[in-house]
Amino acid sequence: MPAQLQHEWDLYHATWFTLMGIGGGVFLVARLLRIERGLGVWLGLPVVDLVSFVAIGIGGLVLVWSLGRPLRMLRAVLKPGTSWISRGAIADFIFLVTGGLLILPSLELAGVKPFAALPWDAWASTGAGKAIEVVGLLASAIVIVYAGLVLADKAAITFWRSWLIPAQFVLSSLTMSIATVMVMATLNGTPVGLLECLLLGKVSLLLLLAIAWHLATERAKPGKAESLARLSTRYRWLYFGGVVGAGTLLPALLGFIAAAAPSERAALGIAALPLTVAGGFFLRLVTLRVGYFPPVSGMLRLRKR
Amino acid sequence: MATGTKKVPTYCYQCVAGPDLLNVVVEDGVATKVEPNFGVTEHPAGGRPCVRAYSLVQKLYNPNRVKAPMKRTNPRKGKDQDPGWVEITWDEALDLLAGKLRGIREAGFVDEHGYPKLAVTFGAGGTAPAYLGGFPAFMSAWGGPLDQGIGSGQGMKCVHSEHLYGEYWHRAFTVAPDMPNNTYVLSFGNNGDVSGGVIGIWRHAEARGRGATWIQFEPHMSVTAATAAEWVPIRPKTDAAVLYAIMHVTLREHDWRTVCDVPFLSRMTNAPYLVGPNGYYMRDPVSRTPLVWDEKAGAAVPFDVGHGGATTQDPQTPTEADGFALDGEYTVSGIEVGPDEEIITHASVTARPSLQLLRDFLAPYTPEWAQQISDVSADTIRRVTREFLAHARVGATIDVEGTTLPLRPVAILLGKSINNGWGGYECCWARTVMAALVGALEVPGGILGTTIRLNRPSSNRMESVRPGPDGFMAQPLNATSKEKWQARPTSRSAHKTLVPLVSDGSWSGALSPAQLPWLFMDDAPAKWPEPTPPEVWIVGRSNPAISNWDTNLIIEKLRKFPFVAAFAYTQDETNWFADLVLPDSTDLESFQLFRVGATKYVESYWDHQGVALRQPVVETLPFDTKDLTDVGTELARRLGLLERYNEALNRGVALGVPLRTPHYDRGLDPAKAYTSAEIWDRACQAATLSLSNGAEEHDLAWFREHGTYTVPFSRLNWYLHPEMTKKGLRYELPYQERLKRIGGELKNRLHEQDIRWWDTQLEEYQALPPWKDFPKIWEDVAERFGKKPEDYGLWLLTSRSMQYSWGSQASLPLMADVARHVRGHFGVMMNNTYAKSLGIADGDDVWVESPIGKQRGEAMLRAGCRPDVVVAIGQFGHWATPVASDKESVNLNMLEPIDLSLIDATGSGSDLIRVKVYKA
Amino acid sequence: MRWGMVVDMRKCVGCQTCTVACHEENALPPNVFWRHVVDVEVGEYPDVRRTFMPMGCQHCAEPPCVPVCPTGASQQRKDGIVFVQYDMCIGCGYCAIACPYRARHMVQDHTWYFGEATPSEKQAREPERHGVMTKCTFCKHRVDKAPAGATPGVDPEYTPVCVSSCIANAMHFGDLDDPNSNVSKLRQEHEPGVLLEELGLKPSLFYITE
Repeated sequence: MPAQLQHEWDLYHATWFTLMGIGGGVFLVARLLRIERGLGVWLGLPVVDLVSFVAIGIGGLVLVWSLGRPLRMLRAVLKPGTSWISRGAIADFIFLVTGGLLILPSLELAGVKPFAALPWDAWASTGAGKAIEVVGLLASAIVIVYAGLVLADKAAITFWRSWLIPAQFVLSSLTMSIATVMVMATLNGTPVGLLECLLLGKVSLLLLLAIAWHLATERAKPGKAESLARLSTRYRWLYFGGVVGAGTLLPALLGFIAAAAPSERAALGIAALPLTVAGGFFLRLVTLRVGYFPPVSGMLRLRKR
Repeated sequence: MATGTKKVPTYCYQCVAGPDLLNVVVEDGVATKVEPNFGVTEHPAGGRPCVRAYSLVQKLYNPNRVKAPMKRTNPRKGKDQDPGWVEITWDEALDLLAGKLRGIREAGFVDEHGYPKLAVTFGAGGTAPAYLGGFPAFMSAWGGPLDQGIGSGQGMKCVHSEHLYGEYWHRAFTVAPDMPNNTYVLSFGNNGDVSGGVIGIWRHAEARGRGATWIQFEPHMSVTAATAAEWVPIRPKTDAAVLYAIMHVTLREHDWRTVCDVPFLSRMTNAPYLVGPNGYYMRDPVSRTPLVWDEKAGAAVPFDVGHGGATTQDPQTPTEADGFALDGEYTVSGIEVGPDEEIITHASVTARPSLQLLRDFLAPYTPEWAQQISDVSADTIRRVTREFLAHARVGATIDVEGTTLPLRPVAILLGKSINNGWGGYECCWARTVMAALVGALEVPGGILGTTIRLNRPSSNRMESVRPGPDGFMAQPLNATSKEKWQARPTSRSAHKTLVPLVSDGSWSGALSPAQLPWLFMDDAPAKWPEPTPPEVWIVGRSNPAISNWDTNLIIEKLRKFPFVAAFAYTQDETNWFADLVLPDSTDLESFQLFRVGATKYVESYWDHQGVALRQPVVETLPFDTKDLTDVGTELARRLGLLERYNEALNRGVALGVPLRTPHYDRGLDPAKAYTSAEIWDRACQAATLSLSNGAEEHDLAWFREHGTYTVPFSRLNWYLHPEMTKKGLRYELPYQERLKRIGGELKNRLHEQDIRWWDTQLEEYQALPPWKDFPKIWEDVAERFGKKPEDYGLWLLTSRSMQYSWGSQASLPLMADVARHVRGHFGVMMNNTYAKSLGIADGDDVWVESPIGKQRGEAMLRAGCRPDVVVAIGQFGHWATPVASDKESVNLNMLEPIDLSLIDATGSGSDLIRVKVYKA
Repeated sequence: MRWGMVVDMRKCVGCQTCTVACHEENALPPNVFWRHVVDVEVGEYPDVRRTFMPMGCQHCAEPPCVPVCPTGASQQRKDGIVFVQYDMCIGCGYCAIACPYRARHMVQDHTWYFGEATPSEKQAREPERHGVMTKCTFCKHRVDKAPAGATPGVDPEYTPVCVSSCIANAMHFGDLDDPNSNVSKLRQEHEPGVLLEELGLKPSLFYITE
């Protein structure tokens, strides 16, 4: 059987991966850089966390919608011992619970905080809050890495069987998230920090490196060869022009320029957001769409009489 | 409503290699699936039906079926004319048809041109009889001539050369290898792993498993070429050259006395018969017995001297024949008898044994000569000949049920387009001569005939072997003498007039130049009664509109048929031109008892013989269809033919077994109209009584439960050899003296009528047929249509699809899904390198153009295809059949003309045409 | 006990009888085939080989499709049969991605050959199989019915239908762990290979090529 494209996972899954990447990533980036306050507060809650929940919530719904049996979705947590989808589902769940718990005490409705009695706040300023935040951070780290591991760990698709796939997805999640927090800061009237800009530049370059490394190695491997051929033909413009050029190289430049030009950071951040998000989405979508099952040979030998 | 699950036994006969026995699983009154019938342990292929049988459930419930009788309201007929069907009742429908038939009976059976006004066409290859129920009894009761010469494609697709010559030479309407005993097959285009039926395929596979060798000569790598030990890509229509070279190597490069079966040649062929200067046997002037040269006596003697006809095949027991000369030349006195009893007397002339003539004849046909014609290397030709001769094991014997028979485990097989059309005679002759040279004819391991259709009784090959003139079998030839020749055609295919070999049985009309009705309708040669459209044409289980060549010509004629009654499964391209469509109850819906086992077509020869029942598998049929037995009864009743109809059934017409014999009487009361179940109930009883010689009797109820009844069938009956030796007969090989004479007589008859357009065909009647440039015949077709031959540089061939063969699956989407797994379906295959040179990539649309038209299809690039060949699998080109008409694909039938230049003496042609291919 | 098959590619003629028999036995929807035969061609004219390769689930001893399943629906029995517990499956598709033999099929909705279901399609439909992953089950519904004394692979009633329908007698089913079984004897005699051996999945289908 010649190599054959997979058709199992497509738009829904690319959307799910992207939204998980943004959802987990913004939580991670905002809290690790300690900039969550500057990104806005609404009803007492960190807006970045709300963005995170919405992204993950929609991503989760998209995932559930893609299932053959959506109403059974809760079963997906049953096999963390062997299945990255299970682990990811658990991580999603833990993240939503811990993230939700973390911000709950800070909720303010009509001047009242109904959950203020809880011994922490949304900013993790107490020990208990810090502990919950750590759990949440760990969960969000898994949230942004598991999609790539799903593909890399056991898929039969040669092109996906590389640690460089989860690496690309993580790095892409980070670039999307950094750009998101840059824009959120701008919308909240907070100046965009130097660190965010440098991170945008460096992480984008790392992403570029991961993509290049993946494309340059094991080029002749059965299944991967076909994927590379399809990238170079059918997806030539979208991948190299879109994902690599516009989605990775350009945000890297914007990041470094923004680092050197504080007055331009707001505008550059706003420019970087659609580039990184579109780039991230198409990175995932094209990766799925060039996924070839390797050929299965008939073990024929040419016979000479 | 029925509840629970049951398994209903029935058979599939959608192709001629059957019946395949199967069970239909019925759950709560609904048929759900087909399963093998493992209960029939006698079945040589483990009771397993082939891929097509599994579509029978979908066939049953197909919502695109014709659901009730319909009549046409649009009087205009044409490809673009919607018939305007209106549903009517069965009573109305049968009244309408009966009325038309009554008109014929009252006005006269034959029209002003001498052709029967009623023409009947049922599907190819004898598949239809397994589904017609009692209807043939109606045809028998008709009481006047009816024409079966408007074929369903017979003249173009059917392997007439093999049928007619095979049955003539060794009662082999179809020729099969004795695969259970065979070790070496040379196949020229025989696609047995697609067409061989479940038994053929099972046996071929088993043979491969035990190391037997099959070498496939074929222009493209068919399925059979794929499973073969070796594929030899031969140029189309050059097979005779290779076969002649093989004979050359055998008789001229090897010591023929060592490698050939000399006792067989001496005793059982015309190899020792002396041939005179005019090419006829030297005969005793008084007895007219052919002469041979007795080496011991040093004189010419009648061939039957001494032994009085009895021969023996035991090489240890000498007979007079062993002393007959097989080579040399001798001075002989006697007579030759030419056409029309022309006696040529010779005082002393040089005469040679026919084997000597054969050896001389083969001198120019060297492997080097064959190589430059066929692209098959001389080395290959010599090698396969050497292997063939080694595997032939001349002198070996085997015990078959206590009788010692020769064992010759070699066979040469021919496929369609090799065993029909120009070159078909030469290939069939060469193949059979090669078998005779090593004694591998009708013996274990060699080539066997499995059925007869022209000789009687059709149920028993052995009984049809009767002594005839010159030590050969008697043959039911159509007369060519001045007194008895049928000058005026009795059928539109003129079988009795033009084809002596085809006799005059119920199958003869279709086994003849079935192209002529179409070709000559509106355009007959001078002095030839123009084939008229029949007043009534009944067609069923057949789609002649697209299963003949030159579809546009066919449908142009069909428009003029005044009344067409079609037994219809779905709308199709032929019943598109009908006036009345009658949905018959098909495979899983009606009753019939049909013969199984013994020896039958293709490779269906068993160690048992018997009958199997086909029955309605569900209590309530899905649509308003009718059992054809009931249709026959109803038409007979309406036309006042009930008595004759019942008597025909009593004689065994349609039933396969007489209802009345001296040993039992299960006969029908001639005056009564019986239901299908009642008729087949009696047939079941009669069949079991007959098969068991009175020991057992089973009725329809028993058969509905058990499905099959068999009794042992001696394997000795697989082989004609015991019968031939018992009756002291010889095979009329290698020298075709009688055919030469018959051809001369036919020529005289036709020329007396000033008919010369059959002269090329008359040239086929040669005792030793020289090679002709067969490919050139097709290359020249372009010129006949005003085009340049060099513009059509490729051969378009076709090849069989197991999933679609015999046509019943065309409207079933299940089979389309399944067939797509076999490369080549729904496209046109071509050599990958050649395609790339034209800028054609795999999957590109291409035009395939012949001198008469062009077709568009998807290119499928293959390495296993000659660069000068393109292949369109199967036979499509539908525009009206549901599902099939959704797919556009290249169809050879649209591209090949019906032309006299492409018709051979037996009235057959070959499925190939010269084309050009270019990117669309 | 470990069920397996030996496929004799010398005998297979690519007729797809096994393809359609499986399709019918398991009431599969249009264009879904758990078993199918691949038409393979290698070489360049005139040195060409063509063969036919029955494909489907290989019931690997190390099946990648089982650990990836997030719900545990994709399972392997002690006798080696890999199957899907339909009522546990959520239809995520991960197992299909994990199978290099492309042996898994998911059908979201009811589809019929003619738009509307025919009586046989209605009768045979299995609603539990929509929206979940499906695959060859080695006809465990037949194998498991074998009474004492009956042998799956020998007695056709208790044998996978692909094997028992094969008109070339090219497929054999039996216990790989029993040295006297039909499949074991064929393995000893012919030393057949497996597909994608380099992946280390230890398939239970063995292919005789010469």
